[in-house]
Amino acid sequence: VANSVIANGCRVYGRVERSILFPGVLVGEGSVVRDSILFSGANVYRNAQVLRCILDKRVVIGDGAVLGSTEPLTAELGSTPDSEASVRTQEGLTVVGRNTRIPSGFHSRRPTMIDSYLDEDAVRASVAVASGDRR
Amino acid sequence: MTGIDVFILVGGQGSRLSVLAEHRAKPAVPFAGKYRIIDFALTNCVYSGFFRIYMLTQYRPRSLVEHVGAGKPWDLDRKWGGIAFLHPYQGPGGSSWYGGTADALVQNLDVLQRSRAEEALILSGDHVYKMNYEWLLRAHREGGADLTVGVIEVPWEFTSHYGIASIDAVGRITEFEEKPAQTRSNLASMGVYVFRRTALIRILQELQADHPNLDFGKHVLPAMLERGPVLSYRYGGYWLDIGTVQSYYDASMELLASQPRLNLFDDEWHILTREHDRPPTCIENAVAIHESMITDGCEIAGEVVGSVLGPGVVVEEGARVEHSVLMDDCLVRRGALVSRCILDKRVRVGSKAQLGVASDGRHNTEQPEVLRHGITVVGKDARIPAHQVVGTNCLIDMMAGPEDFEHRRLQDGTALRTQRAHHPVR
Repeated sequence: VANSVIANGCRVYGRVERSILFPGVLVGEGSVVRDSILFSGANVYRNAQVLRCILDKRVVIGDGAVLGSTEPLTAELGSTPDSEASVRTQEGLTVVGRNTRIPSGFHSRRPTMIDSYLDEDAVRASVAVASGDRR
Repeated sequence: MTGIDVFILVGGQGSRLSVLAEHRAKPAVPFAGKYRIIDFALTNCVYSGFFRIYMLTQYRPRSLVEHVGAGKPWDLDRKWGGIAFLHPYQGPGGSSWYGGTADALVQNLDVLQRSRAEEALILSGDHVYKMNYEWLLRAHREGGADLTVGVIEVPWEFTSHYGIASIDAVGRITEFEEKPAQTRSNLASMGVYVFRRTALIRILQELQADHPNLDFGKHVLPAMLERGPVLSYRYGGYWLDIGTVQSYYDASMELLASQPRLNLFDDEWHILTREHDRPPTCIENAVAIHESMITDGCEIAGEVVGSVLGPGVVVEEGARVEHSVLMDDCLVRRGALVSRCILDKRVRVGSKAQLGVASDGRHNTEQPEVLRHGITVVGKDARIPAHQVVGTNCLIDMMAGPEDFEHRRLQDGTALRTQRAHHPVR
């Protein structure tokens, strides 16, 4: 844990850097949370990476999932704002709406906005959607 | 339903908790960062639906009364029932201290008599456990005895520390011995008793004349056994009597295990406590924090390993806290080391001081039975000067200051006492 603000009831078994954790956040073994803000009750399971993300309340990140990137924005990562949602995430942030469950092994390194209340299947079904779009 | 009256015995002196319980009653000793030991019993009561609670105080009640107050954190600040403190008092017949656990109730018989509850639940405020007393009450009502005693299996080597009950096939207690040297049972009394209220009044009235120091384990239980069946209720969860510095330390360290037996993160059973509104914990620069439990409002720029930190603890750059318990608002200055220590509230450790550095491992000179396994205990508000070295098994009085340290090194087993800490007690 480094340079972070951590509220009560958090359990950190992995690494947390430059992040803000609200009450009751879980960061499982082998996981990395960097440059992110995790709202109350967000659960990051094992070996996952949460990079430059804002996770709303009770978001679940499955084992081994990779969300966001701390690399500088490049064309490959989708720096051109091409929709209303991507205007909001053009700084390279990934935002996940409340209660959404990101499935195990899910990979999305581009700035993305993922809607609230999606289950694993709904998130997986939207993988094909271009980055920056509202999923 | 007429409800149930709960009596929590919170008057005991925790002399084997050393300086941690000298200026406060044992149930008021902070535990697991943000709680006090009493929180566990109070939480159990309200989660069991019992909202009429009497607290029988005696030893140094100020800290406890301040913490519990009107009972707001437990939703006990209510018009009917709620919390009432029963302190020892003066009356027209004179005055006396509570001579024993049951004598405390003898002196408040009027409370028992005017109650309309069918049962009285007697608890100790010294124990850490999560228990739904409703099940116990149900078992008591189904069993139909005048008394049902909560029991728990303890390791055989510790049976001599507890009141031990032998039971028959249907759970009836056949024999009860207080701290037996040898025994055929390893079922310990948890200090949890449900009495039929009228039976409790009767037995207290019978025994009080002969026993000014009337005690539940020593006198009341054996007498109840002579008069009729007494049932046991076997509890299978985690239960801990925090009796000694060592058991306090071990219980704290056990919380840091990956699957601690006492799960504070159980969403169905959050322990309720008086919370201070503190900012979240702030962790600066690349520091290592491993296997630790850290409460609100801490500022950490140093290293914390295997430790429990209470609210508002500050660990400055280059400092290291390892395998220790630091209560509220402790301050560890730059480059200091705190190893295998228990620091009470607001202890300040000067820069480059080293606490818990072993030399010959001598037991404590004043409390050899209590401080012998290498833990050093520092009383509240003590200030450890910069560059001071403190050995293992040491005891430093509350409010000790730089002027009390005569040598750069405090040898293992030293008891550093000051005059300041002890108000005259006549």
